[in-house]
Amino acid sequence: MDNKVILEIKNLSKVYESKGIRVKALTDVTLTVNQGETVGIVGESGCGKTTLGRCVARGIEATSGQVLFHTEEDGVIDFLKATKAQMKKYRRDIQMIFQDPYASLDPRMTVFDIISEPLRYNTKMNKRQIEQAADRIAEQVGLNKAYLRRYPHAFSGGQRQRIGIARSLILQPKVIVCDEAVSALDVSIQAQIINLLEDLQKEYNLTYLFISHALSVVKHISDRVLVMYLGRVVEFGETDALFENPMHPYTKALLSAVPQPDPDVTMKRVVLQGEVPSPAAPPSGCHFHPRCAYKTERCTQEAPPLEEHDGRFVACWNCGVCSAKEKGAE
Amino acid sequence: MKFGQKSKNTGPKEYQIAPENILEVRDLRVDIKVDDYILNAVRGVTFTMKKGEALGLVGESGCGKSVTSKEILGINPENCSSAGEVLFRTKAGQVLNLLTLEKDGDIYRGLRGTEMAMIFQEPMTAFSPLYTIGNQLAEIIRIHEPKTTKKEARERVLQMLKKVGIANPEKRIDQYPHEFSGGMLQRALIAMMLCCNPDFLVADEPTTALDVTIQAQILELMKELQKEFGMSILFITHDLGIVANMCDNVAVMYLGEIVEYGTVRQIFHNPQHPYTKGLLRSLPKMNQSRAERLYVIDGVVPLPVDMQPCCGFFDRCGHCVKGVCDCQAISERIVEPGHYVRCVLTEQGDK
Repeated sequence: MDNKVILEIKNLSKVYESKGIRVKALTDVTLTVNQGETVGIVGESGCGKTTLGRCVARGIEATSGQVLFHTEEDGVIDFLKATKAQMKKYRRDIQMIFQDPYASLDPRMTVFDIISEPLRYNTKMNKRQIEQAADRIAEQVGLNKAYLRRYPHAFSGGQRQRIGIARSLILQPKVIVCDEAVSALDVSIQAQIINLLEDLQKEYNLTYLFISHALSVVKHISDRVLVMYLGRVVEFGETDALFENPMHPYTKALLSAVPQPDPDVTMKRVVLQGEVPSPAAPPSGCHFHPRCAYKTERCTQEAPPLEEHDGRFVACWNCGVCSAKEKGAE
Repeated sequence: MKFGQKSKNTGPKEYQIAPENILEVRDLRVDIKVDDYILNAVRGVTFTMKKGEALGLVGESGCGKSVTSKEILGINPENCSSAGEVLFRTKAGQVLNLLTLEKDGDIYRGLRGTEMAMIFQEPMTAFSPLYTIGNQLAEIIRIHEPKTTKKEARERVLQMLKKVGIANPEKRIDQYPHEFSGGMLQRALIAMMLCCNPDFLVADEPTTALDVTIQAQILELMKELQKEFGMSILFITHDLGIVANMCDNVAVMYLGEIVEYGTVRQIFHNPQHPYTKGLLRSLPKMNQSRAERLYVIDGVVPLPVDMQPCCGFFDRCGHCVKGVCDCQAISERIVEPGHYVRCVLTEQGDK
């Protein structure tokens, strides 16, 4: 894989305001995504992973920061400052696949209409070309061409997710934001869709932002993983290294909480006390300190910056303490 | 045992189950009438549960796991018709065939809550938004034990909330469900279930709607409570990880049948049925290298309409024997003691 950068996100912040309550959904999120790679974004509900995905696809406007998209023709474009014409040209390069295949397809449109709608708005293709393109993409994602005139209700969950994938692929985007794309599916169907996503990635050199709370799926599909907690990045690094040796206490607890499908694996489960605090009233300093077993005085006052440690980005004042302690114990 | 006596001429028929069992389900069939066709949702399910056992009922959507459990509690909607026997031992030692009871009759209503209970997938929808948590929990106690005063009931609710790890219960008891987070509501739901101390609990995807760290807390809590109260739990889930951690035995369901049954070790280490094998192999694993492609079971689960006797899995199975699997009822085969499988290949392999 070439390490050509396609997407740079710098100090991205998003603040929601309502009735005088300010919710910082994203605080200073910074990451770089290379072309052709899959970045997994994990975290619990309310950590901002969906907000991040939507800010990147510009479904919602970020409050501050930069989303730099590297294009071949026009160089680097900041999505947040781009002109309307630029947006029209490049929005199609970033597409989304949504979680709920039952809610993300219009029940009153046929599958053909759903899949081909992006072409009708974004290209000057004629009717025949559109039909050919839709047929081709349907075949690619494993939909029977004969069913294209049917409505979404006639399809099962897995088939509907294929329709959603076909719709996001038809404009030949470069980046796809998969927001919990397989979470609503059964295990055997989930495997089919994951394999499909991987095949398509290889064929079109696609870049995925794969948002999910299912850690085993993220581990399987991602090259690098971004762990978020209450709107901040706590750890970012290569998948295998991160899963093997988590350096942030939250990552460690998160990974240990996943039940393993093997009765003989005795889990060294780190059961976290308490719950994720409300993002409307986050704790001072490091957001994780009220639930952290390794907290020090400093954690309660200052937020730790995201710093590089051996190729891994970690936001922790006592970085590596949690993994070092365990090694000492063994 | 008292239930061994001859039944009186007109009295209810008396049933027997093994003394260590709390529940025996025998050849349970449930049909659901939908518009103009009938779904054979459960097609002859047989299993037993010992006192204090945790049994995992796993399978994908539409395999009949929820219908089976709801039939045990008698809370399936009216368009369901059932056949077979569901034998349940009450605290008093009496054995009842739940299917013969009137669903909203006094006997069944007396059983639900005090003898058997259920916790649901979405704790957010299981509570009424109009009443305080304390009110809804106390209601259960006051319905089942009408002599309890309001004050006593409140005391007991407080104890239960404390037991399930809700911090500051004195304040929480007067709050409304919307003031609770998902994990806290699931705890409150567990507290509600504990109020009348049932022996048998159905947990229908109890942690699916929760985050992993909260899921870990709830599973830990359920384990502790099971130990403390000796409860039998029927775990319904599609998460094989939870089953491996929480259950003693596993029943794998496919298209309304139990295709394989065994201890967790037997199922996870020595799966026999092609469906069980496929299910286990198609899971992305934490210790698997990323280069490997996921194993895929081809096709989709068919709708169980107008089912003929056959192996439900035959059209997705790579080892389907034509003329056998697709047209004969497949009987149960014993792999080793406590491990059963419904697959013709097992027999061929063994004998």
